[in-house]
Amino acid sequence: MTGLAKLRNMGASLIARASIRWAALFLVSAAIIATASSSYREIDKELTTVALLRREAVARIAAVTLAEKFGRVVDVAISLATRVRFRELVNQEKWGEAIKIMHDIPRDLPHIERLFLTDTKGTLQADVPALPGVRGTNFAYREWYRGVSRDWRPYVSPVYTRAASPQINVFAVAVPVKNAGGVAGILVLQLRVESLLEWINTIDTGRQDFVYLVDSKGQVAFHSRHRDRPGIADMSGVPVVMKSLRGEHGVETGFDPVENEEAIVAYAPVPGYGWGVVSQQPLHASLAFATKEAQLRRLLTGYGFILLLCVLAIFMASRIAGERRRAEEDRRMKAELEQRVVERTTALQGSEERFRAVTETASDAVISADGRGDIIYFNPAAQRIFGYSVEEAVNQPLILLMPERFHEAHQRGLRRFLKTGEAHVIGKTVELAGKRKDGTEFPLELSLSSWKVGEEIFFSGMARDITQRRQAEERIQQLHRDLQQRAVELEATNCELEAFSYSVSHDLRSPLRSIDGFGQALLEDCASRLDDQGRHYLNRIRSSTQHMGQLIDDLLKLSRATRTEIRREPVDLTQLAQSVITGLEIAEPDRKVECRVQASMVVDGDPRLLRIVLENLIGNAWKFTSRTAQARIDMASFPDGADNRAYYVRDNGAGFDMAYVDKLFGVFQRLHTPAEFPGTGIGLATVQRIIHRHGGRAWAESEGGKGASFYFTLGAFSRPTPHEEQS
Amino acid sequence: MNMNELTILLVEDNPDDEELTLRALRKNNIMNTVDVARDGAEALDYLFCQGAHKARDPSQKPAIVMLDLKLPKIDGLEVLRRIRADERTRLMPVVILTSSKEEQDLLKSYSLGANSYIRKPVDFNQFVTTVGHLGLYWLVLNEAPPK
Repeated sequence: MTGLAKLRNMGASLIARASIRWAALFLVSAAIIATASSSYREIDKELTTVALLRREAVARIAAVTLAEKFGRVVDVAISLATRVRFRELVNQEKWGEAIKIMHDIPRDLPHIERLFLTDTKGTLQADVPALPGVRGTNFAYREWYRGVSRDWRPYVSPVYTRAASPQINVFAVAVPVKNAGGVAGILVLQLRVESLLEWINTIDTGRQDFVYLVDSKGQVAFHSRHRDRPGIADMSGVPVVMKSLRGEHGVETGFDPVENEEAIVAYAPVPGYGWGVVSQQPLHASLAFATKEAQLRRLLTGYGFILLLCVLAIFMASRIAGERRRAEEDRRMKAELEQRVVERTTALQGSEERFRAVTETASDAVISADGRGDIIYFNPAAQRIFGYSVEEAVNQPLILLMPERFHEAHQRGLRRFLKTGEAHVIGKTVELAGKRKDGTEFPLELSLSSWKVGEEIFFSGMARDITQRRQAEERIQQLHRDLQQRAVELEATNCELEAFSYSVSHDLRSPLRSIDGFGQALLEDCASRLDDQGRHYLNRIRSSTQHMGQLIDDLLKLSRATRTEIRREPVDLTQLAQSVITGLEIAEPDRKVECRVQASMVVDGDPRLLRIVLENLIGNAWKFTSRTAQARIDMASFPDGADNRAYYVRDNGAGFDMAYVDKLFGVFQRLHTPAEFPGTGIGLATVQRIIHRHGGRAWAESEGGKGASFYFTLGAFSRPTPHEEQS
Repeated sequence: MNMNELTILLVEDNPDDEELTLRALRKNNIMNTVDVARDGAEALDYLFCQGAHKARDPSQKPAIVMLDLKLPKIDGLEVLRRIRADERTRLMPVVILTSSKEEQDLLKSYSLGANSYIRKPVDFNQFVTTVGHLGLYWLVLNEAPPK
């Protein structure tokens, strides 16, 4: 893997790791935020509920208490109106006396500001404390009258302002005074709102809060915050007031335009009397809300902390994981590095050992020198070649090993190389002269190289004593010169031989022809003057000359077989053999020889020379079967080795003695006397020479008297001759 | 034309061979005139009627030239080359009659336009037979080229 790809991968994994970290962080944060917000809402709701319930409780307690107060006042009124004596007096319309019974009541029950009696028409008949001028006034317009006269049941009136001075806010409780058959009059208790509702102030309703009571018309009967406000405030339009008057109770938060603030408002009806109670507290003043907000703040802070901790934890965890990974990476790289160092060290040791082994056992001198040209290493071969020991050579300048005439060139070359880096011999193999310890010079072949360790430069040279090579080269050159000389001589000899053969061909035969011709002339022209003995001698002379002529011809053939170039081409041996046989049959038509030649024997060779071979072999067979009845000559072939064939000519003639088989192919070697079989002893030598020149071999086998077999092979069928390779 | 009016030119330096050749011709009853030149130069003088043979009638051309190869002064092959080079003798039948049967001689002779190549056998009886065949062929059977 390339460094770039590695970097890319590392980058990708970093991004992957980072995104995992961010995803974890996001998930944890989301979980915490979800939990926080849900519990926030839960707690918010709970605390809100608590705060509201508290406010509602205030409203309801106030309502219930008021109902109870009203009940008690009504009870007092009923018990007064049902007194027997009082009822009798009212029945008798003795209003004055009747009211006297009630004389002490306002004193005993201070919240009852005044009592008065009216007839059923609402006309005031008596009152206590008595006010001047009111007796005889009809109050049928008042709420209390309308209320009580509706079905003659006790009635609590809405608030109204007293007609007489002081004009304070009051309300009335009216009860009918009944007699045997109906209603005799009305007892009205007029109550001071202030005194009646004083108790509300005793209810601890919380900070900055207030309670107010509304009567059945929606008028404020009592307001704990605005107690001293004169007049009667009509609040019938306020929603919570309307709700309470409709008999509903509840609590809500909202903006109060009257108080101009956000407020918690609880409302409750006063059962049985059509009044309502409203308890209100500004939101900011609510302890419960304050607590709630504090709680929520604490909660948020807590969750914030947790979130922060989580983020920190994740960050730390990822940091630690990263550190661990880096540490792991570092450890791995360190291990790898150590492994590599070990390997390199081993390799270095190995190579050092190999270097030692090679240089110590090298047959070439290995010499190293430093930048000053002083020897620092001198191997055993160097010691052997130059004759110096290590101690004698090391720390000596290299010129120690050179003949004096090279010293200056060497120093110059060294200085130039160190200065310019220009090398003439470094990196090359050169032949120089070396000087041994004993002062003798010798030729050497030197390969020089240089190497650097830091800034320092070193040289190494491998030197070989090439004295022997030089001598060998000189010997080879001498041999080469000799060979050239020989070739020239051979060429000359060949020319001479050529001329000699030519000469023989022409000149040696001429005298023979003369001898033979004149011998014959003598026989013909002077026959009468010769006796039988003379004629016999002349015949002997003639046969000798003819034999001589045959010898000359055969020698020329042998010479030609040696001299002529071989021109290989496909040769049909079968056809050639048959042509030779035909020639023999024509020459000696009287002979009856059974000749069998294998069909389609095609070889690669020189057709003229192969004809000479067959002429000799078949001719011999023909000749040596001349005394055999049912003479037979066979020519055929058989496989010889993987891709070659051997050929043979076999006869059933005289054969030869195998003891002399090695003489058979020699020149002028004959195993038969001319009297037995004529011949020159050159034919088989010619055959062998031709076969050898074809790269084949020739041999013979015989059982005396049972015929002979002559075998030959030719070189590989398609093997090119050296001549053809050159062309 | 009478066969016997035809002349034979024998170019032969060896007197033995000359005598034996003439004897062989006689033995074969070839009675034609045989003129003998003893070297190549004389053969050319004879053929082109120059030098010693200046006086000879150029119209009398030999019916056949029997030419030896090994000759003094100008050898047989050179003689043959000049015969073939000259318009007058270009078509003249030339039979090489020699001792050798060296391949180079055969090749050069035929290359230069020899009509026949006969090797003189050592056996005189064979030689007589050969010369007989030669005479019979060239003097009787063969139609000479137009003059």
